[in-house]
Amino acid sequence: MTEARFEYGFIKVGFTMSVSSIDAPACVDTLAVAHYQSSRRKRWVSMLLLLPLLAYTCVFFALPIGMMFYRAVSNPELLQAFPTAIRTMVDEPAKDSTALPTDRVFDALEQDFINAPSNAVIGEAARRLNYENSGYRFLVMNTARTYRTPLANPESQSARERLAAIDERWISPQVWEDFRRASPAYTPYYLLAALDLKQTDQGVAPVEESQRVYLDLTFKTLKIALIVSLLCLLLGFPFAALMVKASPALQVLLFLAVMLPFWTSLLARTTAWIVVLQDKGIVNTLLLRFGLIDHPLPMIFNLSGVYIVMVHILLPFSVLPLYNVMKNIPPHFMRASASLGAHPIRGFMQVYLPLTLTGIGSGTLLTFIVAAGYYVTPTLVGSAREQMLGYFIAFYTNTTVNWGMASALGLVLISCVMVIYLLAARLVGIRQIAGLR
Amino acid sequence: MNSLAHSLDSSGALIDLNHVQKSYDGKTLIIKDLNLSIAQGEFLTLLGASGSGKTTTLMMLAGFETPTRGEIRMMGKPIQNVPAHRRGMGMVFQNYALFPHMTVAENLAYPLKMRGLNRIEVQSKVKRAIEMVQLHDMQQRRPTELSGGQQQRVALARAMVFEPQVILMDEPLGALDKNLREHMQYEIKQLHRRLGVTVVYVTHDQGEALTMSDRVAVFHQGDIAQIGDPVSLYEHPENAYVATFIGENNVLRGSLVARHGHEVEVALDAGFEARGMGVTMPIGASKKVELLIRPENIRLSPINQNSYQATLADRVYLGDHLRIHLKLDNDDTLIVKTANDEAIKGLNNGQRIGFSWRPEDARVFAQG
Amino acid sequence: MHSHSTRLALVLTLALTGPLAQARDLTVVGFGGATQEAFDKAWFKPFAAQSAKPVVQDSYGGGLAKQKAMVESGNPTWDLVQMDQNEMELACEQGLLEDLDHKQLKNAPEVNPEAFSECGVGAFVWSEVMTYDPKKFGADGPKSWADFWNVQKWPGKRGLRKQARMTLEIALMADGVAPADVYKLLATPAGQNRAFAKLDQIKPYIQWWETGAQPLEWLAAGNIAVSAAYNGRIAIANQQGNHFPLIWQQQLYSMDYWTIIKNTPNKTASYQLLDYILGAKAQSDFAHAIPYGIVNSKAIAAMDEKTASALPNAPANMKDALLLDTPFWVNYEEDLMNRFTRWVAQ
Repeated sequence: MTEARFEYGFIKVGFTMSVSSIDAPACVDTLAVAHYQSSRRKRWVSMLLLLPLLAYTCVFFALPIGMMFYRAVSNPELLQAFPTAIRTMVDEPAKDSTALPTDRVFDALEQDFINAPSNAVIGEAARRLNYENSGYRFLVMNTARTYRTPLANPESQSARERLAAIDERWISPQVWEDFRRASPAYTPYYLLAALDLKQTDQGVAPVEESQRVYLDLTFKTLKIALIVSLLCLLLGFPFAALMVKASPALQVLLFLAVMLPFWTSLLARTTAWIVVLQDKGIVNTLLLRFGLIDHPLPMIFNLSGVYIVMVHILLPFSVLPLYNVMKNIPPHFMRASASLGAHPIRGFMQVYLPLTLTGIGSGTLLTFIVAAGYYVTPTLVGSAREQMLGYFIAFYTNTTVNWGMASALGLVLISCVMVIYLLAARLVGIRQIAGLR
Repeated sequence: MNSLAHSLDSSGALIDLNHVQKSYDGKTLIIKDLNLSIAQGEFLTLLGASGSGKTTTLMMLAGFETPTRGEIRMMGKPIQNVPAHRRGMGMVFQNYALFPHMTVAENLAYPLKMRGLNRIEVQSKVKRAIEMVQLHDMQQRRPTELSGGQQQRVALARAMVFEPQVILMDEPLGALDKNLREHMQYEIKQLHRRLGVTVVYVTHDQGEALTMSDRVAVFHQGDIAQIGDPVSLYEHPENAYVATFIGENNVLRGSLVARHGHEVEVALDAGFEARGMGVTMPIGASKKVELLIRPENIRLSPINQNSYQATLADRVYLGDHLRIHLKLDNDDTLIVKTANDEAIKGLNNGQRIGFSWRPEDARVFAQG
Repeated sequence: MHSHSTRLALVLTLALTGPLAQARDLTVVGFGGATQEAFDKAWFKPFAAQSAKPVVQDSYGGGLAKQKAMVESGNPTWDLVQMDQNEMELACEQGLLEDLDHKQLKNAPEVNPEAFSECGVGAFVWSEVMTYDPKKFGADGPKSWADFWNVQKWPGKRGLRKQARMTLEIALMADGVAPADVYKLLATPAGQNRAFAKLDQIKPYIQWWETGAQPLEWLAAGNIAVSAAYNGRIAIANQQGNHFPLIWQQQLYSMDYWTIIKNTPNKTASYQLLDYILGAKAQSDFAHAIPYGIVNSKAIAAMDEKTASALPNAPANMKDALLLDTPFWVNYEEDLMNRFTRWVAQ
């Protein structure tokens, strides 16, 4: 029984269970052992077959998400650039938060600048400190630049005076308060900022009104995703029903029609929509010619553009699960309902609709989750109002390389999606969403 | 439909199909010219091979298909334009069509709720229906948690719970195994007797049709080949199709020699002359006929002057009886069903053997 | 220890996904579009022909994420990379770029000393200027950013790039702030408020663009009437038969840079290409291909009048011009970007 010990925690679980069942009553012991031994080989083989999948899941799923969690709280920049200064600050705390640190802290800070392992480390610290207050980047980089040339006469002044001579802000209590807040190895800064909150002396407080962005953006993202997934459901339901009823040839045609946006490049698709929907576009031209409207309807570069284009691309996510479920509803259910005296509409509501609930649940949820992560399409066909959270994640990841902020926003998005998923799972049943029933 | 007496027409038929035709593509007729009266309280079976039109007929009765021509009347009123949900007929489907997302009780309550019954009425009727099919402990189960036979009973109960005048059944026992099927045949028959409801039952299983029905309509290529009670269908088939479709029959070709009232003499291609009862006679110059004789009506004997002769080709042991394959002189095979007695056991394959039948057991039809 | 585990993960990921590090061809990366076509025509193709070594091209939309990932993993797949000044400064601070060694560049003495930075050398001078649809206004179009705000006299939608940088400067200039005072003001909350308040006045008329080609497509399609656009893009559009005027008055200009990725195995080849780019002939070829400003003084001096007058740094075009203040934006970009995005979404 000792062979059941494994290196991998996840495999161990299954084995511990079978081992404990063997340990139970003595009378069934021999049978249990025989059974266990006979099935052990089989289990080994199935474990081996699962191993590539487990490895894949770990490397490409668990690891990135784990790293995202880590990045959202990790805060090593100042510790790496100014290790001695921070250690000294901890050893010799200032009398209160408004007071400047002791001279030894200034000495240590100066030494840290002089002994910086590389420019890059200082640069990272400057970037980090700048989040506390715009302008600190310049303060740090300028100070570092000054210390790169040897000091003229190190004896005549104290480190505090030299630093103050480079930039007066070094003797401002505000800078040191921000410095202290930015120095721990782990910080709630990014996560709080992603919720439009910040740390102050009094605790956690909302940021200034002009800085509040993300909560609003999160709601907007969820709202757009929700409306898009409902529109997809509304259009996709009859479409899927039609696909089920259609002749095989028409079925292929409908399938191609719904999958087409998947196979077109994003830019080609977007450009095509602009051509169709713009003021001088096909739709407006036709409407004007038939006298249905007096002046062009604004259909692109606004919210309606976002909905039209996103529904177009996300429709397959709704249609395919629905089609899959509807295909398996035999037509005689509706006949049975009619034979029992139900009007087709009541039959639809009470029999057909409940039977498609699985497809509605999984399709809508899938659409919602994918839609919540969209940002390129809304950027291209929406107005500036239709910014989604994903845009900022990309902005922080690519443009400013603020991966802490990107990770925190990513976590917000994942948490929202998880909450919605769990709500849906409660309503529809998790097994149904997973398609297990 | 409330005042039954008023709307029943003089013939006493509950449902009439008059010159009903049905085509799905506008070219070929699935139902050619159907005339059928269904009496109040009878158990009528529509029997036929697949594609014979029996299911289409049932679907037209139920309102899922509309006749291309002709009319369907119920209690004298045309109903071909009444939608299915307002015809008030109960229906049992081939695969039961129990709603999988509802419990047994909810399935049974469904037609009652659709009729706007209040909660107490619904409950009491559901309770009675459950008792009727003896599923007391199953009320709160889902259909998928029931056995095939239990599902079948729920389907029956659901079709009856709202007390329809007519219940349509579309091969309801097709999915059950043999023993269960026989048991359910009995149960359905019992329910029919007890409730006095009119049943229109579709099946391709002649055994089922013969055991259960008051009348059987044999469908063949969109027409009714014969309609009648089981005994007359089996014993007095009106055409060769019915004769071969219902029960087993040996078909021997030959030509008409002479007629003696109902009895005719036929010179068989197998090389001997035999007698039988003439049912349909060839028209004009043709003398071509078929003589049909059921395997259980052929008697084996030692060769004598009253018997015909053939070679014993094979024997199939079936427990309570034997099937003997006789090879006639023109190489046709004749099937004989006989008791498993000692005399037969002594025979060997390849041996010549005598056989005969009573003329009243053989039926002669014009070759079609 | 933070970077230890992350680096391990990065190495692991790249080892599993990317090709293994090996000798590869020189890879230059630009921002794509018409500008990169001009690079290719004036620089990459002739260099490849002359040196008989292939030059592989890639393009990206800016940002530092890729550079950071490839430097941290120790497996750079890019060599010579075009960057805007902001990002070059940031990348330089973070140690993603090689310090520029002037000794490797024979043509360095001919290059305007202002074009050199710690980690890069100026690739070209670009400019954002105002342009408009001549079919709507003919010769009597808007002449300044103040006119840009005048939607009564010149009705129609306005195109602006969806970012705080340049947009806020334009707003202040439209409000009458002299170019020299723009950044002093923008560093104060009052100045920032003033810029946003000015933008509020035409907010409903603004259609925001994201890529350089968009404003010209929209002008041609009649979606917008007046726009800010890159001078090179306007010139390319005009070569294709349009007649969009360039309003140099109060242009905003800056320089894009060539940078070399830290620890690339193709360092020598990168310097060779860079040296070729800085040569007088190559510089002149580029300015003829697309009218962006060049950095080789000899080439500028030798340029014909017509070509020279189309460049952002032609003396006639420099009146009231605003040089983008990179240190300012390095410090304030995230702050102002947040506020800008929030404002734009309201």
